[in-house]
Amino acid sequence: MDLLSNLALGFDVAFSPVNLLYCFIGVFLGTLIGVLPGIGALAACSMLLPVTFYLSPATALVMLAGVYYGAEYGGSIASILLNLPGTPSAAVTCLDGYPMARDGRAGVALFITTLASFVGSAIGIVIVTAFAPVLVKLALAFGPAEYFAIMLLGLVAAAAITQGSAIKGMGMVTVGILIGTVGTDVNTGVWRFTFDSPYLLDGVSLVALAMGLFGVTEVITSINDKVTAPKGGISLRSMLPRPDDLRRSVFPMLRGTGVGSFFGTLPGTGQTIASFIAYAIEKRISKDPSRFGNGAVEGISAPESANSASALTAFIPTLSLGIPGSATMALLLGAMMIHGITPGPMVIVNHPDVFWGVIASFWIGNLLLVLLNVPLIGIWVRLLQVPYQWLYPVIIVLICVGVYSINSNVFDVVLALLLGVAGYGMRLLGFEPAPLLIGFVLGPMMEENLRRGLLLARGDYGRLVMQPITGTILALTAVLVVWSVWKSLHRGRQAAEPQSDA
Amino acid sequence: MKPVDKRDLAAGAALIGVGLVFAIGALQLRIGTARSMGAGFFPLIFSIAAIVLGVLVVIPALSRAGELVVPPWRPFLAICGSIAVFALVMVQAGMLPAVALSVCVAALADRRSSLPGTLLLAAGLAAGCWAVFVIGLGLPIPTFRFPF
Repeated sequence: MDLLSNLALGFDVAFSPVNLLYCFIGVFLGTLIGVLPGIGALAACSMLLPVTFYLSPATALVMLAGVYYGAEYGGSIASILLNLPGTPSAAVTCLDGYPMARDGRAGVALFITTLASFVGSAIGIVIVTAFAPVLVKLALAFGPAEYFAIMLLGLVAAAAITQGSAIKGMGMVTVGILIGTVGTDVNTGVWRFTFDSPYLLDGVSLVALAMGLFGVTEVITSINDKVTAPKGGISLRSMLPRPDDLRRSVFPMLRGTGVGSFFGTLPGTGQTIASFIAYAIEKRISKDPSRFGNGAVEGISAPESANSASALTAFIPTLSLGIPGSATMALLLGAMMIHGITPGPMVIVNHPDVFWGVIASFWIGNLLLVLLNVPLIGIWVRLLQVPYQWLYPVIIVLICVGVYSINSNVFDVVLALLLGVAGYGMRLLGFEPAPLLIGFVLGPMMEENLRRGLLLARGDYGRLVMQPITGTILALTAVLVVWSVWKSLHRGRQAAEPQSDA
Repeated sequence: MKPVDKRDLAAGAALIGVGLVFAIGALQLRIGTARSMGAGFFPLIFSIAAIVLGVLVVIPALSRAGELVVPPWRPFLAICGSIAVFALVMVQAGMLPAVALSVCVAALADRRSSLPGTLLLAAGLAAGCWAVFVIGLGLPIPTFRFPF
């Protein structure tokens, strides 16, 4: 496979008028929903997921990529202007973005966000293109046992990096896996945990789960938070950065991209950790660390480019191994499966148009973001000024109609309600919902691979573990489990961890 | 009495509870052997994992203080109510009344909502949903029928 021809195929797919249109719609709607206070990229993607069911797989994923970018950007608008991060990774943007906004430089902060994000994705796409074929070769050498092991590692890693306690994160992953077992068992045809309800035969609907856990829960929480809107608008002129801002941002952007690209490729870790580390590095090497937290432009450009670069390189494990780097990627995987594409190394071989098309559209989505949002920024800011009591009923109605439209069935709406109640309870108890979603998506694949792996090992656990790759990965997983449990228990003795608001 | 972390105690108990429910369910399925896994094999492993993790959450919570903060119930009840109303009315009378009524119930979540504003929003959203989902996207959603 040739690097340039792959990219050419990707851009060919992404630049087709239909895909370009849906990418544009995705970016627009994504920003529209992402800018709503308290609604992050994940909630936005799950709200718009049902809309994509009617599109072809490539177009659907292209649109979701657009939604993702739009929502991330919309989230940064809310972070910078209101100090209200919709996602954990946007929380880093708040650190210096909000002080800049208080200094009346919100426009510059927003512009740097877009620029950094674009730089990160432009370099990220080159890295993906260069490394994807290598990874495919590696992935093809994987058997079921190796897959099971690496999925387990990914899940443990996803749990270990959550903001709260790692044990609680692993608890959420397990609950997600258990919810994933609901429905007809594909191997035996037995109904599991369905309570004899015919509606649960196909399992819990991904959209109902995502909407319940992220949409419903977040709406209830943001009403509690009593969001207040900022005064004043943002003009195009105020977005122009000073030459000084640009000069200060060049190297942080490049370093951020490097950090992001590296962490994106590791299964299970994701954008959150990449942007936090990029921020920490900039603060560490800065000549004057005290500027950070008081409106340093590097504090925006480094994490934002890390965020975008890792979003792109996270596609390497997501699309080739089928292991999502973040909850958003898990949602994209779910969307692929709904469209009948089994995630795994064969995606690149069997559906090159989907794989490269999505990669290319991540870049185009970002470009559209710049083109669309520089002129439209005033509208988004005005939307933030709409009182929340007008906005949240709209979100609730969109959730209801969206969930209903998947199967034209009220059962899914009730399910979303129950999961929303559960999600709200989880939040009160200090659980984060993102690991649950990752477990839910990966669970069925893990079961299948464990079954095959054990069959090949003739039911001998020793033989399963003694295979070199599997054994190494499982040992690594065990170390990670022990370390994070020890860390949680140790920290737990000192003080209860602060309530995290992801 | 020694202070305990009420939030984590409840969190651990919830994890153990979920684990137990799935474990009991899994035990009623065929467990099978490692060589030929039954339907209950995989859920059983992870329900045991959930119980173990729940215990690990509970243990440190016993030796430190912590509060379980419960925010006001009003938004929670109103939002849940509005989704339930949507589901009920959708079956009985179709999308237009379902959207309008669920907006009215949702408005109860925030004291700042006013009656005329809410009615206007309800009517506008019902019309908007009809335009976008039925006309625009052509989804097969029943719009209105007499419930009697």
